[in-house]
Amino acid sequence: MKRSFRGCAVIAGLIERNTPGQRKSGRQATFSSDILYDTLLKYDPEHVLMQITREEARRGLVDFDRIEEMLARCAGRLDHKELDRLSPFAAPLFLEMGRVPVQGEAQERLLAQETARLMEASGLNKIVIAPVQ
Amino acid sequence: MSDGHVFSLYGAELTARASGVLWWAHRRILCVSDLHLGKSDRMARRSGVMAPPYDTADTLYRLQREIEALAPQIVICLGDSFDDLQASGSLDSAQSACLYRMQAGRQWIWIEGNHDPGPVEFSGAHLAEYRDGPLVFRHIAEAEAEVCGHYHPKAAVSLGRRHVTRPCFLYDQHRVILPAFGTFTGGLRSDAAVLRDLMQPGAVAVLTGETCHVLPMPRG
Repeated sequence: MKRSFRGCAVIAGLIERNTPGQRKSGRQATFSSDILYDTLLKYDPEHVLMQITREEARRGLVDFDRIEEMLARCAGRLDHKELDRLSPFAAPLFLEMGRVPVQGEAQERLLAQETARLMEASGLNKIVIAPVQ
Repeated sequence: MSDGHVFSLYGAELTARASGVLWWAHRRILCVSDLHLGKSDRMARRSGVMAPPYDTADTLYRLQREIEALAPQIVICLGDSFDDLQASGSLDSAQSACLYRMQAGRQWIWIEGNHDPGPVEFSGAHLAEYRDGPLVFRHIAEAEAEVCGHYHPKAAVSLGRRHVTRPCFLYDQHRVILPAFGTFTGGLRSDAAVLRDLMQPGAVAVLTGETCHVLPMPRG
């Protein structure tokens, strides 16, 4: 959703397109699309940009509407099982390796691990930054 | 007060909270920086960019949550509280009421920033800087033993192929720079020259977000 939203926000002229690899030399004049998405989700989830984003996300590389129609067409001739977890065949659809970001709890855990490692490596966690008297 | 990273600055024990506010428990001072209230309004006025106009309400709401959690006696807004001097007039009645409620029963100090260099119509003291004990609260870093803002620091951590960037506190033995608290504020990476020059080797970054994560200040 956030990826689709970014595209919509660029087209809407809300944010500028970032060329990957370009370093920002100073203070950002614009902010990331993520904060716009989070704000709209919190305060105006039916905003037209969010509706468009949902449409875009639905159609993306997989047209979920057509899958729903196919299932309706084949009702009774296919055993349709709703699983409570990803099946091995479905996994590639949901997890584009390295491209779908790990969010939420897992990201917090990874961050905690990596920052602890950095502190350990630098030795800073052993130094008490004593006040200058 | 477990939602934060405790550190010492000139003998004062300070807590950098995950929300982005600085808490000095002993003096019951809550300090927050770069609220940039009215930013979406100013953007619409000046550049015609129509960002969703919920940033002011969101910033105030998050600040209210911290004030309710901590019950400070003094709240210090460390400058750039308003995106420009006109923005203070753009708060609607609900937002103004929220601000008045937060101010009730406590001392409120507006430190002048570069975006809001003059007094605004809300109550509270309007000062260029504020001293308490060993520390000075001002908008832009200039000396030692200070608590300041202005730079909107953010730090990037590499997690395999992805980088996670979060607004962060930066501190060393001389000063602490607060992250920008406002909802639509952009940031300056800690490896930017001005921050590298300002902060001593051994400076620490404290990432904000769901919880605090502490790491050596990335210098690039």
